[in-house]
Amino acid sequence: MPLDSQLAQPWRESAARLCEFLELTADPERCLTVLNLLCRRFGDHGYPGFLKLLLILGDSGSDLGKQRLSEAVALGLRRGDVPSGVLTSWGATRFWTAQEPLHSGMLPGNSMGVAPRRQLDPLAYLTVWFCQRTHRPYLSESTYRSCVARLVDLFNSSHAARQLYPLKIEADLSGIEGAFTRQTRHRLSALADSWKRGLSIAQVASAASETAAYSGEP
Amino acid sequence: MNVVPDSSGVSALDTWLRDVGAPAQAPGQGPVAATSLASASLPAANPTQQLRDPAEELLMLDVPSERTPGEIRTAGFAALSDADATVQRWAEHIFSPLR
Repeated sequence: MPLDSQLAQPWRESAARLCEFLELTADPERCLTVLNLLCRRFGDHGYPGFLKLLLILGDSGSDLGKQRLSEAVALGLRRGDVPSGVLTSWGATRFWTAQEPLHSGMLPGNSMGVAPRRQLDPLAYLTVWFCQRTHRPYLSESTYRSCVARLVDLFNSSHAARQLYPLKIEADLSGIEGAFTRQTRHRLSALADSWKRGLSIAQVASAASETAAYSGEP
Repeated sequence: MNVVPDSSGVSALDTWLRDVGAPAQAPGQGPVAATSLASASLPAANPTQQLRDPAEELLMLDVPSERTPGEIRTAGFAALSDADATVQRWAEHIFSPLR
């Protein structure tokens, strides 16, 4: 069996089980609870694994599974507990690389030198991973574009998620000053705007990945 | 309900990274966080000069579906009837292939 096939097998099985659960469970509250439990099961550094399950489900032919997952995400967006992943904030990595003497003012929002971390929803996580310095190497443009397109397509399976997710992004951009770099803000803003305007999936992904050439400013 | 973080210390991502022979990373140990000012000032979205994140390879791993909609019935599911399966058991059932 080819290596890729061997590596893919457990992910395919896990995604199939997730799909099975969603097809059997009409209650969005229950779906969201399981999704959050599953997300936590991956651990702090394993969120890309959770995203992988979403991508596999999005690529599947299960319209019901996709709809129910998206409805659960919509519920999470309303309540503020959508399954999220952790990345360090850009201020933290700037501190790590500044090569300046440490003083207390360099550690806003944290203590004992532990890097500030933010919980990010799927699309914000991908965008921060793509264009901010974090504890992860940058995500490539092609992967970012592909994943954004597939996730937006998945979340469009629910009318509520399609309506709420862009609004949630905009609310985050206006309400969490300093949490994102300027480039991240531009990309998320372009993503939300194009999504709200009903542009095609490819156009939404392009808007997010092509906007805002790096200006040299954070 | 309260969602309890995994306490096993080994994530499925760690397992995947181990299987492909790549070292798992913890925050602060990655090539970005550990680099000098020169690399820190690289424009964002310029990954060509950096190590590729193994987690990115996971995202792009081809996972073809072997089943058609409506035929998804997984191994071991019979033990999890909808009536008595707790959400915790469902989460474990879904995650268990990735242990």
